[in-house]
Amino acid sequence: MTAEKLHDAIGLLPSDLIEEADRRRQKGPRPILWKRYAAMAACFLLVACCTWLTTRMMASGRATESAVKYEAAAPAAAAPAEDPSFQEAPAEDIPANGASGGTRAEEAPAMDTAEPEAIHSDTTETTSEFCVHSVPTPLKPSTACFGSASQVTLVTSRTELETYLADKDWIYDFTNVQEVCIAFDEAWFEDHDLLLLAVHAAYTDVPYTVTSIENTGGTDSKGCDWYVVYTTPGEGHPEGETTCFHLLTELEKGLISPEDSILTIADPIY
Amino acid sequence: MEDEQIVSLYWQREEAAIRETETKYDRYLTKIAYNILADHEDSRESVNDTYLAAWESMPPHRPSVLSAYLAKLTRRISIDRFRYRTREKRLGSEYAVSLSELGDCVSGGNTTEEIVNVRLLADAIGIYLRLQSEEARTAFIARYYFLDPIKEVAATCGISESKCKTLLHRTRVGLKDYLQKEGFCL
Repeated sequence: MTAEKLHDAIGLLPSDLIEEADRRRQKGPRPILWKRYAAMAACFLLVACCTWLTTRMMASGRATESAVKYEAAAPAAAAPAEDPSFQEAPAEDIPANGASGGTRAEEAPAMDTAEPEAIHSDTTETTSEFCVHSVPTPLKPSTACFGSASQVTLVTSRTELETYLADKDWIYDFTNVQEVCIAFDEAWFEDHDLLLLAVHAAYTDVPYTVTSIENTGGTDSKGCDWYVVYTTPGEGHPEGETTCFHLLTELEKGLISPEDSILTIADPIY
Repeated sequence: MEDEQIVSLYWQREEAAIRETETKYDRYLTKIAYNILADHEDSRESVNDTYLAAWESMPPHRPSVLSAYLAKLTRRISIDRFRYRTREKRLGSEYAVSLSELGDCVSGGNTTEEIVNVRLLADAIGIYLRLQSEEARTAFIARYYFLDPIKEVAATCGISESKCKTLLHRTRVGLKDYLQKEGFCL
C-alpha cells in the first residue's frame, strides 16, 4: 500500500464526517488564549491559598513564641516570696491606666496556700473576683498541636466573639464553648468584655483558672500593657489526658483596651 | 442563495447554477485546490473543472450539503492534476507534505501479492475516525482531506501548532495499528 492509496481512500470518507469537519473549519479559528489565562488564574489561586494557610498557621504560633520567650527569661531575677501583686486580685482593684500595684517579679511567684476552688471542665465557678469559665476545647483531628503555649484574645462584642469562634473553628472543637457563650449576648457586652485564653497541651485533671490580671504601668521591657496569669500543671505531671482549654474571663467593660498588648504567664502549681 | 436552491437550478439545467456556485464557493474551492497544487493557475483550472463536473453530475446526484460535495470534486480533480503533472517530482504543496506524513502509516513498498480495495479501506478509516475524539477527527480530516496547513488546522481546533502535530501523529499511529488489526496489508 502506498500513501497515495491512503489518500484516495480518505477521499472516499463518508459525507457526514466530511461535513462535520467542514462546519468547524468554516466557523473560523478558535482562540486558545483563554486556556493560558485560565491556567494563570489557577496558579494564582493556588499560591493565594497556600499563602493564606501559611499565614493562619504562623498567626496561631505567634503567641506560642512570645510566651515561651518570656518564660525562658523568668529565672534570671529574684522574686519576693509574697508579692501582693500576684495574689488573686479583684478586678476592681486593677488600675485602668498603668499605675502599678507592685513590683513585677519575673520569677514565678509562690501561690497562695489556699488553692482555688476546683474548676472542672464543664462548670463555671468564680474564684477570686474574676468569673472564669474553664471550657475544654479539644483540637480537631486534622490540626497539629501547637505546643505547650497559650493565646489570648479580647472580644468586646458579640460579633467579635462569633468572628473568633468562626476563625478558630478549624483548630478547636467549640461545642462546649458555644454553650457557655449563649449567655454572652449583645446586652451582656454592653457592660462587659470577654478575655479568651486558649491553653494548649494541658491536662484535664488539674483545675484551670486565671489567677490575676495586672497592668504593667509601662514597666515591662517588651512593652506589654497587661499580664494575665493562669495556672497550669507544669512539667512532669505523670497522669491525665492532654487536651486544650479556653479560659473565658469576664471583665468590666473597657478595663482592657483593644490596643493594649497582653502577655499570658503560665504559673505552675506543682 | 441556499444550497437547496442552487442544486435545484442544476436539476433545472439553468446556467445560473454555475454562477451562483461560483459566487458562493469559488474562494472555498480555490483554497482546497491551492493546498494540493500550490499554483494559482492550476488551482483556477481545477476549480473550473469542478464546476463542469458538478454540472455533469447533477442530476442524478442531489447532495444535501453542496459545499462538501463540491469539495470532494475539487479534491479529486486537483489530486489527479497534481499526479499527472508532477508524478515523480515533489513540490512545496501541502498535498506533497501530507503524503510524506501519511507514509508513516504504510510501508511504501511494493506489496504485489495483495490488492487493496480502496473503498474497503475508506470504510475502515471512517470507522476508526468515528472512534476518535471530535478534535482528533476534525484535525485529521482538515489535514488529510482538505489539506489545510498545520497552522490552520491548529486554529480550527483551537489548539497550539505543537499540540496539533502531536495529535495528528498519534492519530496516524493509531490508524496504522487499527488497519493492521483489520487485516490490511500495509
